Amino acid sequence: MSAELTYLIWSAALGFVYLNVQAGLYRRQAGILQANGVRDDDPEPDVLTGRGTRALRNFYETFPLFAVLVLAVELSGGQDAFTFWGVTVYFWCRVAYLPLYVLGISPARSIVWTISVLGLVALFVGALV
Amino acid sequence: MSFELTCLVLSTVLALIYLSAQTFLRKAEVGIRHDVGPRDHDKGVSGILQGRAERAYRNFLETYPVFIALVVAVELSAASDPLTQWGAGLYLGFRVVYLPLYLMGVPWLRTFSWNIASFGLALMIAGVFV
Repeated sequence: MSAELTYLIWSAALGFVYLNVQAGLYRRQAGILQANGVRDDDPEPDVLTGRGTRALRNFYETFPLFAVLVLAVELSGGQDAFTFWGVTVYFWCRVAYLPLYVLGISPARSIVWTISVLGLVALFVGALV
Repeated sequence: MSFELTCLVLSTVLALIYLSAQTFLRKAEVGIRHDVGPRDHDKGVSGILQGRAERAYRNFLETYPVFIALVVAVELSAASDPLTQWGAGLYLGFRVVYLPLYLMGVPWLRTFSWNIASFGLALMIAGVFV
């Protein structure tokens, strides 16, 4: 399996981590009983729940692009240095992004996000060229 | 690379444009300093343009996964035909048109452009099965 595809599969696991961090932080605040209910009267998210939720939403924003580009590279057999470094940079930046957001470390979080998008740009260039 | 796959790769640029429209307009209202921080106690945006950009982006994300799934299905089953090519072209073209129409607040045309883009998805579904 190519490095690009391996990173795509691990990024699915990473997405699951984002999801569970959000779900865990939400349950820490609202309680399991509330989470199991219909959540009509959810409390306003507190600081940590809000951070977990925003980090998850942020992950969703670029993950589909990453998945699309990796699939396009696989289908067209266009692996090269651009696509390899693109997926590597994207993945590890997204790994670092989550704790940076939950701990509220800025502006490192925004810088890491920007670098992850540069990884996507490299992947795009590699996919198209 | 097939026409559909090229449309898919180009659509990632479009996705970043939708995202950038939303995020830069947002930063124009709330300030970069706030957004670089952890955004605790965020009150959201209240500006007209900001709201439009956010809704346009959310709308984009509603059908984008469908488009992705269809292009991948076309590729993996080698089902490319005029239906899937027209479908992918219509989808991408009218999602491009949709964003400025929404930002400028043009009624009806925006909805029509959404309809045509979605019709493109329907063509692709037909093309995959035919």
